[in-house]
Amino acid sequence: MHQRYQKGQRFCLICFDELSAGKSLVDLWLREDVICGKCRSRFHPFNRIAEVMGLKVYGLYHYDEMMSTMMHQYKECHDETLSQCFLFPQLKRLRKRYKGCTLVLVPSAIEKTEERGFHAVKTIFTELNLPILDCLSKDSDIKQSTSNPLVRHAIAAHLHLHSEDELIGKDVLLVDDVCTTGSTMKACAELILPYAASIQCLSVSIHPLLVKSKRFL
Amino acid sequence: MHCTRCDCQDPKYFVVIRGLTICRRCISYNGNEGNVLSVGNEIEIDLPFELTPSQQIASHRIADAAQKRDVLVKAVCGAGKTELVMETIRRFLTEGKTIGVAIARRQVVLQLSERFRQAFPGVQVSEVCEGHTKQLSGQLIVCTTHQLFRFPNAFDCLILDEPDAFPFKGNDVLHGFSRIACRGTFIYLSATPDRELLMKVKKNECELVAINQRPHGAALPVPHLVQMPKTFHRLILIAWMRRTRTPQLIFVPTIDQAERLAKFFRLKFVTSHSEDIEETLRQFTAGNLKRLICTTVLERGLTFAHVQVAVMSADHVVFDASSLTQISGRVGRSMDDPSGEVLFLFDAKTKGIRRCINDIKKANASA
Repeated sequence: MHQRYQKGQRFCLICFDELSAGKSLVDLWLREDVICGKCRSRFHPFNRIAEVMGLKVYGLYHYDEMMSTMMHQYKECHDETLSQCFLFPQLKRLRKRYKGCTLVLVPSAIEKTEERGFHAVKTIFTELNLPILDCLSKDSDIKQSTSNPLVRHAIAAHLHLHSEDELIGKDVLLVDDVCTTGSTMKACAELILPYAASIQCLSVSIHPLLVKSKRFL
Repeated sequence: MHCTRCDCQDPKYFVVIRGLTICRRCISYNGNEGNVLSVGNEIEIDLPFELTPSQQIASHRIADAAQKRDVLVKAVCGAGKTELVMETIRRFLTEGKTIGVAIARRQVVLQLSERFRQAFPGVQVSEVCEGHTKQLSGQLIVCTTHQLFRFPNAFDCLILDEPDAFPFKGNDVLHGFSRIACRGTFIYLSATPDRELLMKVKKNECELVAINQRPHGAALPVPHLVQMPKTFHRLILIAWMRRTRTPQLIFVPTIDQAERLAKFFRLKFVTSHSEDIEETLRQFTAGNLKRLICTTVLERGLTFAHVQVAVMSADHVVFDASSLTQISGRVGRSMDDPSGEVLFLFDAKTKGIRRCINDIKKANASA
């Protein structure tokens, strides 16, 4: 594994400035973070449940320009260290909120994971210290951002569920990094639904356009 | 420690991920390639043993000379040629330059890349040979001479192991590949340099570093010569096989002869055509096979501990002086067991045998 956040770390993971830059006094004393205040303020927290295609998804951030740059650096440029900055300030709260759940990861294509050398979603969420069940797989790498809405809904055909037995009676927490239309999340949830006792969804970022048009819960 | 892409030197930008150091300052410039960039940092050599003082002097001489001009390392078999060039490799990698090692034999590529991987922890070593051609990038490339065409103008320094051996010797295509692949200097490693290389030294185009002693200091084993009519060869071989300790390697000149002898003795044999070479050699190294019959595929580059060697029909044309010197060089390579026996069986003494014996005696005398 790569180097995790260490107590003695003094610089921001994104801008490499002093860690204390741009922080309020309260943040400085009470809230530890791996990135500086300036960079943290460029993330726009969402922290609500949004209804996406009839599915209740808990989103942590808006998927805006900053988020997409960071996701690009993390996933396409293979900057594994960046994984810590997404969940870090909310770790305690999330651990409490999802206590007793079993993590199920929204799959990425195997070739993609091999090319990166790490599982993008898994690396972010290992910090929650929940048991991980990697029971979903995607058989081909379809570029979602370039495909039109019709193709995007067809993703369900490429998702497969295996080792169903291990899901029975579990409280499942379905996690993903980006939720733009919700079709992937929806397809995954539908696969798991017959087996799991309950399903909750968590996404690091949610597309604001999609959220605005829906009713907040 | 500095990044080879953005020349960053501040340690706060570097992280170690799965043994590879990467620079996070320029990571977003990776574009669509998605390659992890390695950082040219201070590289250390991790060897299970220490080099002898004479080896250390030689290895520093090679490293100094290789910066400016071609080097010919003339070292007896088992003198540790691989260890001698490690200092050079370390310096080139530290400076962020690319260095390649080209070897004629595929089997040696696999064994050598494994040794480099152990000696340079944290360095990405790629072996490129038949069956391993997908991973072409890496800090240190170990390849067969046939694969050099894949790396045009790639190396600041190219180490050519045994340039006097088949198939590199006298092959204009392979010579061309090596000239195109290397934009810097060459290092030739050889126990038996041919006339062409020695001429280069004479013309002062190339620096000569000679080592006539093995690291354990013991003399090279001089082959026993047995001149007999062909009829008695197998009888003598049986007597030799019983008398000497195992493991034993029996060299034969042709594949056909290897097959016949293997059938006669009910032994396993290795030729360039056998498919399970790796498996057989693994068993032989592990000690599961006591005796092995082979052709000249195993004559160079490989190290088997405690091995004894016999050569059938040493007067055959494939066994020239350099080939015989190499074969007798398989014996006594390990530090704790420098002794060993070499047997040449033939019915007429050839120039090759005479020159091989002379070379070995000369090297022993000058050590």
